[in-house]
Amino acid sequence: MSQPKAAIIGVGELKPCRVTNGASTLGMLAQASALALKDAGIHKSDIDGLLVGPQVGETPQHVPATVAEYLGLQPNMANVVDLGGASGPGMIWRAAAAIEAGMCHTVLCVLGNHRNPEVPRSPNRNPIREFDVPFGASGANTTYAQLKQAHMAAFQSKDEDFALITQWARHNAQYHPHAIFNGKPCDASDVLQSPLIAEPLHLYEIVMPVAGAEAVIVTSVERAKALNKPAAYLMGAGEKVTHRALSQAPDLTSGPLKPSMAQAFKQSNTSVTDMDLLSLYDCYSIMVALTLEDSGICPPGKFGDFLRHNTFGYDGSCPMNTHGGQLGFGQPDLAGGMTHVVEAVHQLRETAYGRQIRSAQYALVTGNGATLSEAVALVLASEKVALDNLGEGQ
Amino acid sequence: MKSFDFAPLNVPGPTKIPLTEPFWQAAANGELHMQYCECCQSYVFYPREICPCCWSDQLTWRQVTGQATIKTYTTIWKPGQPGWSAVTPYTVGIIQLDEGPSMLALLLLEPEQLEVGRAVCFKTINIGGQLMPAFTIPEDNHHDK
Ligand SMILES: [Zn+2]
Repeated sequence: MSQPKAAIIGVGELKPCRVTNGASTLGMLAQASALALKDAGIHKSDIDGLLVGPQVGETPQHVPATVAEYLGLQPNMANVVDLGGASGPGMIWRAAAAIEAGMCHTVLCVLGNHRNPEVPRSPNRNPIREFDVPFGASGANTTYAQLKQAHMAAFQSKDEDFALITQWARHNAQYHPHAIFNGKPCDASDVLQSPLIAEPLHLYEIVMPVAGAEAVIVTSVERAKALNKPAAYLMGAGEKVTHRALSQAPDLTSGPLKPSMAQAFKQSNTSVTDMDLLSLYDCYSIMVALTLEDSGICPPGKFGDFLRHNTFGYDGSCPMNTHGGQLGFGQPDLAGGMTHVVEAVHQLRETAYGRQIRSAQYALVTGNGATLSEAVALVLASEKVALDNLGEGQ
Repeated sequence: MKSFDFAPLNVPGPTKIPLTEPFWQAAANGELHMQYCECCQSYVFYPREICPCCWSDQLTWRQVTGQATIKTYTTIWKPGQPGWSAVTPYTVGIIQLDEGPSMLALLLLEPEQLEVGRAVCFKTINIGGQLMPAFTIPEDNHHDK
């Protein structure tokens, strides 16, 4: 049995939208934080730790102090977690570690961004800017298209296999009222008929960028037990950063999530088949394919067969991204990775109204950043499982 | 042979620094140069102050053959940088040089020639007024000047 490391006692989420008019990142973070605080049923004065993400264009430096001041917090631990789409899951174990180290007891983890008409770009002068951008390779579409191509070449995987990933994401989005594609299901043929953006990636294999914010409150197991509502518990975590530019990647058909997930399973004394929910980072169809294969739930190159032989709704044989994933929910910038945490918490607390998995005990959450290069995996458990493991359940 | 004319493009050029200047100078002269670590005998790309393999600073510049293999590629219809829209669709990919390092590069191949594992070779092309490295089929070895 493994012991729970920390508990997630509150989550807050803004409904994503395509465009904001003059909203500030700080304001959206504050709204999501207030929702998480209310959900947790604690007071603002209980929060003594703060983890935030980078805020390009609005607050280039001193981000934690800026957010803390805006929220009227004076935290005993404050930091930026800068792991792209892995930032959200990366915050959860860092919060647990800070609590374990005695630096604080209750940590607010918050990410979000607006989508005002003018897009800020920070000037940079690093190897990607010098050796990728001048060749017309700007942005993530180029990267993940090359990863999809590499997978298709290595394993003869087909466009039809990848299209199923979007089909299921859109299917699940029909059960989440906040999802940007709620009311807009699509099937595999719609995916294949959507325009090519970066061959072989079609438009519907790519997340829709949205404005939004997600907040999560992490506290100690002892404090969570004293609250009168169930929490979700962190049982294991793994993290790995391998490169920045895709040309420097050690492998194009397997990523750093492989060792990250292996460590999270080891720490939690679980395996992928114990998971009642796969909450897998899905910036692109190829990301889900690689994560399924790296998790060991199917052999390398065989995600297509796995998708055809299972169902992935909340009531399916292998519930996956029951909030729609980012392909169905939308990608609120860096908060996109946190949507996978928030959904796992809802499922494990049985607050996923209208899409509740029956007696979910374990969830795998993954985050991925940059070019298949920044990875975090978490194993979360329900309160019953976590407290049983503590030796204090019934 | 389809001709690729990237010279008129108005796109961001390389943000050269003194350390990387030999790479760009060589490319402009129709040659591909890489750093070489005298300590662990490996080629290094992109240029660095120390070898990422052994952290030695014994890095020298050497000309490499320019022979490479395509590891992966994508043909871009909607570029992230709007300046590239004038030449869509164009293809970029990751090539692995015979000497070891991998790099991202513009690939000057016809659609039916694109294949993971295909041998390609270096040539210099003009992108927006800058002489830059690119890769093509071995028969197409004329360098822009
Ligand atoms: Zn060396």
